[in-house]
Amino acid sequence: MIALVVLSFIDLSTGSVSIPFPDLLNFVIGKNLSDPVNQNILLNFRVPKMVSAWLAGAALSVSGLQMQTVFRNPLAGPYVLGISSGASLGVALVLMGASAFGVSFLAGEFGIVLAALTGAFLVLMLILAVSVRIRDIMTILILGMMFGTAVSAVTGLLQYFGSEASLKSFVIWTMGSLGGVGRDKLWLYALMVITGLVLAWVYVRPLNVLGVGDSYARTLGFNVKRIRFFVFLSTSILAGTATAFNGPIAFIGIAVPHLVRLAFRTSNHAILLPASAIVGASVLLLCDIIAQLPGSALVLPLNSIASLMGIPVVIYIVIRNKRVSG
Amino acid sequence: MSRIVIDIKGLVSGYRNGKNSAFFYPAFNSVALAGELIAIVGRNGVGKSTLLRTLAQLQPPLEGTVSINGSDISNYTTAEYARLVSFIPSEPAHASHTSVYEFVCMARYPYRGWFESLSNEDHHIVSRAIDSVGMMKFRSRYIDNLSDGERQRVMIAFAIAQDTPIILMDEPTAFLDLPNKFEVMRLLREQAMLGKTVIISTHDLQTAFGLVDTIWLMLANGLKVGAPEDIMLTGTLNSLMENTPVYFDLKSGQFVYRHHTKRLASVVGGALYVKKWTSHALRRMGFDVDLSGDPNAEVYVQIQETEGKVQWIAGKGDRNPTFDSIRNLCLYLRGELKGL
Repeated sequence: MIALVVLSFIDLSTGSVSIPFPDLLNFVIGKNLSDPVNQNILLNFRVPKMVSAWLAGAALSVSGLQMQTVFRNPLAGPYVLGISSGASLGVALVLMGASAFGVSFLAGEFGIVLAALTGAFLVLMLILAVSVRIRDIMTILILGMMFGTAVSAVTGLLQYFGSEASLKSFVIWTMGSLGGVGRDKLWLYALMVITGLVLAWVYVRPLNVLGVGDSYARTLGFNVKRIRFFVFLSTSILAGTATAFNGPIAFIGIAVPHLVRLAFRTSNHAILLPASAIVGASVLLLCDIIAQLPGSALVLPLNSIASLMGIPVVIYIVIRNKRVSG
Repeated sequence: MSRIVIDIKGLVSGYRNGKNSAFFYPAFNSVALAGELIAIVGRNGVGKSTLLRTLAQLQPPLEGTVSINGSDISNYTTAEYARLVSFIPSEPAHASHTSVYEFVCMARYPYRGWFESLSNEDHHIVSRAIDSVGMMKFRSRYIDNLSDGERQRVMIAFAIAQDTPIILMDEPTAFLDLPNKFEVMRLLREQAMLGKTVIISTHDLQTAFGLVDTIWLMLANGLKVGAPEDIMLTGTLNSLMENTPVYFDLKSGQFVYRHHTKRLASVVGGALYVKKWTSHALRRMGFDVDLSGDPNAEVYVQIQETEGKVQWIAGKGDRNPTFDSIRNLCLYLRGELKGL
């Protein structure tokens, strides 16, 4: 919690324009700054960026936690159901399809968000339809991955035929960015993430039982298919929204739940879920701070930083599991 | 006679594969009483687990009905059913970072609402359940770090904490060593003595026959019900081993592997129990054993006891090779005779 506050503060302070420390303090306690440029930078760029780091970090981590529990697979993440592939296809269609057909009005910022959301929710519908019919969780996992791969293949085709300029915008989108969400869209982003988080919180207790085994959940009177339906719905809202607004951000969703489990040494989701949200927000802030390269005007792609930070965690988990089981 | 708790009528359990092909087991009727400890016994694939899963309402019956306390099981809500029947599947519960205590706490969920936390009474019940299976000092251990015997005791604690009049367990004694098998059966017997109906499936005939009230013997052509002794005396047990080289020897109370060699060995002298185990060794080597001194026997073993020392003599005369252990006797016979 403290880390979140400190990191938020550091995040506000970093960027290509350096802002004096007293100004920053004054801004945080709500005073208007003497320098209108600094006021503008903070209010319209850094605050939205910080808030979207909170939202994306929390959303991806919670949805990763849900997937790891539901699939009882330590390497599951927010994207195993193919949500981000759906979002990518939506964005690719808008960026490259628009240039191909000469309709450019869609390719604006809002168009991209809308396209990504549509893509993510179409995949979600497919997954939900499957989840109410198929009982075996491994089959659902495989189908989810197959959907994702198929959708990615279509995206690949689009990329192949896309124009150079649209290809570049698409690649930049896939690199992830926290800065693209203006204040006007932030409320929508926040509303959707909060909806997803509330839905996740409602299903905390069933998640505990589901983590032990489906038969246990069913003989304890839980309706496993219904639980899965709503957990998938929650995950898709969280991961889909985060992807739509910030692009696909890798590894946060896989690594953070493990960090939290290691730190709290419990499988009680009443603890894991809020902890994942807070740690996720903090970790993404940290990634963003590193990506800004404090002291320089350069900004690195967020996704690369998130991967470079997340991969060691995943490797550690794989090796540790090996040692435990062997 | 005790009260009937489970009443099964014309039940066909099984799996439906697709629309046309159905895969099920013969219909049967049976009842389970309050306080009865029942073992379902049968060959692999005869449908023991399927029957238990049907009773646990994890899959619907294909035909027939099951009623509990006089009401068809489909009339209960899932929450009511969770307070009526606990089912421990054969696949162990796996969850990283879940302590024994946290795990057993889950068994109280059917008594609490969606957001209601467990009451003090719930925590008492959980502690008592863990204590009653002797796992109190393991309460903070992770369930993934338990031995098979410890885990199975935790599973029983789970069923106790769920506090249901019916406990179903799929193969509770699989993978356990002998003392743990008996311990698990003792704990289940304890639950039955409290008036609960306990139904388990098992391949472990020796433990089951020693400790349960009733055997449900599932055969390819239907179900046979009886006390373990009834099942043995009526020879029903041998229908379990039809078309196999194994049979149940009523006299010795043991399962015997039928050899194809028809060779006769005769054992004479010595105390009854020494004769019994000497015969056991000879049977193991493929002999039929005669205890009356048949002159046609291929092998003749005399047992002599002098000053508390037992000796085995191979052959009829006095100057025959003498051995101080059954192992040495067997090694000698194996060297002398062909085809052993």
